[in-house]
Amino acid sequence: MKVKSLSRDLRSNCLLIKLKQMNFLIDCGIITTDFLNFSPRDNLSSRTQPLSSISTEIDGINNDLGWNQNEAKRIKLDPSIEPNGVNARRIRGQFLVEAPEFSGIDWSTIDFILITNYKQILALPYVTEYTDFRGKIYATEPTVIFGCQLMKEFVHLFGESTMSSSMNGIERFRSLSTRGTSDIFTGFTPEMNLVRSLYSLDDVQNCVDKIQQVRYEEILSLFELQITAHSSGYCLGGTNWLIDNESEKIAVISSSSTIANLHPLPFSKSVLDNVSIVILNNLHNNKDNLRLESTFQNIGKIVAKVLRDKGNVLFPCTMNGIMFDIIDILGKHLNAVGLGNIPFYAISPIAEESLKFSNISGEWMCEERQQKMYMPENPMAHKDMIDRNLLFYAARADSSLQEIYHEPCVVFAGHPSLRSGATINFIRKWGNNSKNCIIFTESEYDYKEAMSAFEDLQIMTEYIPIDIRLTVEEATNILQESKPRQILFPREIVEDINSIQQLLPSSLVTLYGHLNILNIAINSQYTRLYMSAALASEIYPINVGQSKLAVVKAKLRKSRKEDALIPSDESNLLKSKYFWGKINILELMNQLNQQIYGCRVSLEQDMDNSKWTVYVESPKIVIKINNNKLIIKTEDNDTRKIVQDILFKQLVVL
Amino acid sequence: MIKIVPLGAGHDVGRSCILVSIGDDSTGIKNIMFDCGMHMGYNDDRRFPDFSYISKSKRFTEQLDCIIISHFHLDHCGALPFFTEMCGYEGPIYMTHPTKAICPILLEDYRKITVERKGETNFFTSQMIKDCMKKVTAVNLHQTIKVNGDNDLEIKAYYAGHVLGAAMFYVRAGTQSVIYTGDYNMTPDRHLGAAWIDRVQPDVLITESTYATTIRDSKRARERDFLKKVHDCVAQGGKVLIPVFALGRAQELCILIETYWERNNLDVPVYFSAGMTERANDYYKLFINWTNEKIKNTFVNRNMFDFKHIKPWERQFMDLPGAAVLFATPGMLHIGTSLEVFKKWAPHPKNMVIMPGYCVAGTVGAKVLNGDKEVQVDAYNKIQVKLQVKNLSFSAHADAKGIMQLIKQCDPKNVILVHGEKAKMEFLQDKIKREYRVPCYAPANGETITIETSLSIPIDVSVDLYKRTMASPKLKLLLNSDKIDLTKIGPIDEIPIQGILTMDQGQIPRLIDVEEAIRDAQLPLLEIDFNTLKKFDPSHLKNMNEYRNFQKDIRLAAIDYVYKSIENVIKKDIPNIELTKNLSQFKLRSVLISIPEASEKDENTKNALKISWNSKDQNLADYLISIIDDVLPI
Repeated sequence: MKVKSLSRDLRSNCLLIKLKQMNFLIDCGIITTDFLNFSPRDNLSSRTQPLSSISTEIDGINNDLGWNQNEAKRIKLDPSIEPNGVNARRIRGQFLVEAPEFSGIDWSTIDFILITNYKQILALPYVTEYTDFRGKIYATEPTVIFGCQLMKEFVHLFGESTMSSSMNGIERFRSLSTRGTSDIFTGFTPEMNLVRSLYSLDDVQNCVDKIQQVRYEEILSLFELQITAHSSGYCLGGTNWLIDNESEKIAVISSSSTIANLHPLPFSKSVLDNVSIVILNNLHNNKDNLRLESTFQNIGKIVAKVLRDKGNVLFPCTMNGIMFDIIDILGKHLNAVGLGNIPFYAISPIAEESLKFSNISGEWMCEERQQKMYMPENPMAHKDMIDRNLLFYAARADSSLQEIYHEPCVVFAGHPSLRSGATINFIRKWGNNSKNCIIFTESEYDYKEAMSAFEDLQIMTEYIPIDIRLTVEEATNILQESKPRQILFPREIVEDINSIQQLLPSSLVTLYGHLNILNIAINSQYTRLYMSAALASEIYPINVGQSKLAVVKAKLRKSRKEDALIPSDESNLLKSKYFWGKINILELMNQLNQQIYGCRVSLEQDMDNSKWTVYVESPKIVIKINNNKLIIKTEDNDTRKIVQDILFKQLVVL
Repeated sequence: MIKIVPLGAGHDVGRSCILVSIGDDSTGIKNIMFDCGMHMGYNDDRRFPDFSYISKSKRFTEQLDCIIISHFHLDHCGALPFFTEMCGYEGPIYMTHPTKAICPILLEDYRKITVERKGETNFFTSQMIKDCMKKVTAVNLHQTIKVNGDNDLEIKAYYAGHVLGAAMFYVRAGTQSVIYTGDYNMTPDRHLGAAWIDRVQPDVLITESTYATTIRDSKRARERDFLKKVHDCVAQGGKVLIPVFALGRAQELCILIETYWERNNLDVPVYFSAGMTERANDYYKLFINWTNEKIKNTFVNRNMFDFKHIKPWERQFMDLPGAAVLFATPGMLHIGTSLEVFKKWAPHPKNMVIMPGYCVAGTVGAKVLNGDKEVQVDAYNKIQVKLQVKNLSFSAHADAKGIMQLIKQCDPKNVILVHGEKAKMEFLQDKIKREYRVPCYAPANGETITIETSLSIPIDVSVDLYKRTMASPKLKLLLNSDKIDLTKIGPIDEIPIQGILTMDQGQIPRLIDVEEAIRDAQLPLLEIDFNTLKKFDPSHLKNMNEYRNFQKDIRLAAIDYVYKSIENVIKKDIPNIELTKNLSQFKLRSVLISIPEASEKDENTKNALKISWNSKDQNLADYLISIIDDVLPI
């Protein structure tokens, strides 16, 4: 098996794996941390302008794009928007993103793609719509639904104004589909990586339509591999993929959480049963992560205080995942402290869809919420809040909010980078009042850098990161029980490999890094077939030591369902005979003496004791014994028969 | 061997309960109960399946590996609390999430009617229903469940489209497999999708056959027909009673009426009886994922189960004048609101009752459908039936075409019909045997069907051996003719394979290549090369016409003669073997027959052939030597 990480980022993953002649990707994340290098885009105003009126600005691109200096070698603008090379143009308000290192891949050789959760899908349209990838894509139902929502939000917030014409699309297709070498694992170390402009809403829909939706523990038979999704506990539909090649199991543990009392179905440990190889991904080692209960309490206290002081609270966030828990717990907390009628607003192009779809995904939730669904009650508390007019949703911070909006309030708004979406409207609205408060719970974007784009802010800033992903330590603990043969950690996150190795004495701990190719020996000695009863009845096994042995001569019948062994119709004369055992030379000589009247037997031994030769005169016989190899020469067939009988009596004949 | 016994639903609709024994020596025998239903037509012991068939001493937990419930209708789950709480079954029970959610409601409803209205005692209690449901494991579609963590017994659910959460179940033990369909519908309707299954080629397909002889016209036409009848009746000022189950068809018909009323701006009141309607609709709202794609895709903007025109029913409306439409439970007019209203509305010819579902024999609904003009509604009362009676097949069962379609889809080796009427089953049985040429059975309750399955044993074949075997076959070209007949070249689906089988305690047998066995330290296989001389009498050859004037080395004549003789004999014994020959030697596998190296003058080798072989071809060597001894005496 070969493993190669195509993403340099620890949060947006992309692993290329080759196993049993099959190539596949796990995840297709996009790196968006570079958003912080752009100036915020007021989504409202850019939407109201017709596309044609947007002026192009010739940027002193280096002022705007700080990374360009540092990483000029690695990152190059998408050629479709940089026609003149040096004098790069960027349309105002356009954001560029970085996909995994796709450039060296021959897409026609990729057999399938597995997606872990809704966050790891963002680069998928580049693959399905702009390359000659023709394989299958698998993801759980919620991953498809919420992944589709996230991609749409992404396009709404960061794409739209750069919507490429069809010409552009073709151009992009060409730039991406240039073939790499046919062996996707050899010698391609790209000097640079494309920073792409965003795909369109149509691309998103076409891409999503190509994904096959699966459920947890649904067994997918892909050629010689069996693949199953297991709950990762990270979000609705969050998956750890188990790949079973019939003799060894490989688990890819990615964005998982073992924290109790969150809304998703808990982390399923069954993914680690008898597993041989574990590939860990998307871990973190945030030291400032507190216990979740105290974190929620902390948030509750701060929010309550701000609201009592007639201030407003803004959570810049992703419309999914931990946000559902924050709304739930904060809602209950405020109710308990007498602030139960403070309205909540969730504002994003996908807020309504996200809130409503999550409520009908009860099967993907923890036991407690499943029980609610059976009642039937809303498994998501936010649906109750919507029904009771305590939580409102809107696509944008615009006039549609007016009727329902009143302060003080709590607002959840995208995008957490503060570079687009309703967060900007609220920062502009509330930013110069120190009674208001902005609470960052997501650690993906550096909050100080995010805030630095706005000047003269008086608003209180709280950074209370909630990162529910496994830490290196937690991952190590989980794996102590299951004792896989080999464990792969992402290099960038591990501080001290020796201490991990000490905690996992029965496993080989290996690090993998961006673009390194890791070779892992996989034991794929056996493949499971079936033999028919008719064949079984022909087999008479013989006890040999601890096992039973038999020579089997059969036919392999290939069929759609499974290959089977059936009786052979060939003559038994062609059935091979095998001999097992050790020759007792003294006994052999003895027998020869007894059975061949008047013969003279002599023995010759080689220097290293392993070769013996028995000579017999009249009739002439030579028996050479060399480890497991015997050579017998006789001058007539009757003598041969006698020698053969003597020998075979000492051996087990199969 | 797979054994199937219906404890209910054999030649009957109602009380579905089918026992299946599956598995062989390698997996152990697994006993599974599909559905655990009650019979609407009986109020005595016969309403529940006869569980004593499973175990006289009530050791059900030991006897059964699991119970699988296909959907929430009482004729499929009505006896479950009785079996778990009053008979003591404690093993696993599987059903889908919506079934687990809705099933206790219907059970409670059924309990109330039986205990509170009919005053029966010795029936399961509310607490028992709750306790029973706690034992249920909810499953998702396509999720593969290993029962009791046992790798040898797997179940997998498929969408059945009959009611919300209805599923067909695939069960596999080793290489044997069974599909139980429960009730299913092969055509999508207004709120559910169509049943679908993989081509799993089970040994047995157990299918419902409610509409074994019916071929229904198009769904659209039936819907139009239904709406026209309702509209015509209310236009005349009549009242329309539609007896339904609270969950299932009701929602579909409500969606129909709702959209029709909206489109035609009708203001005739539409009611829905049963206090649980609201709650019933809540289930549909939470389990949107189990309805059809259209509802799912639009639910964010408009949830189809939020009805604007349909209002809750109140008893006093019964006597209000003027047109109205009422959906009332239960669907077979045997009890409750539907029967109560029916009694009131039945004597008036302006009114109409539309029976959209199936009615079990003996119920008022069945009598009305039968055209009875006077119906005994209880022990004391008879009523005159003067209203118009319409029957519309909205019942979400597959029709004959649908059943045939499902059989084709999953491609079973045997078909068993249950959940239908005997006469209709016989018709379908013939059709299946004729069209698909598979055995088809329709067992009565208590009748065991035994199906022999080809036993097959799992075996792990070394990948080396497997790959070499798969790569070995060559397409046979008919070279003796001038042209290659391309039509004769087909895929090779049977390839000879040979290896050493090793069996160790507690391990699946393994088949490995001999080379691997020789390398394996545990299996020191010996290789023995034999080398001997075959002496012959040259005069024997010289007496033959053929060799009379043979001038060269007589041993060349011997080789030629032996070769011809062997070629002649093996043609029929081992036709496929490759024989290679030149002037002084020939070879079959490792058996080499040649002229000895020593000179002609050596007494020993002068009139002798050398025969050598490797011991693996011992069988072949012995056989060839016997031929040579025959044709070439000393």
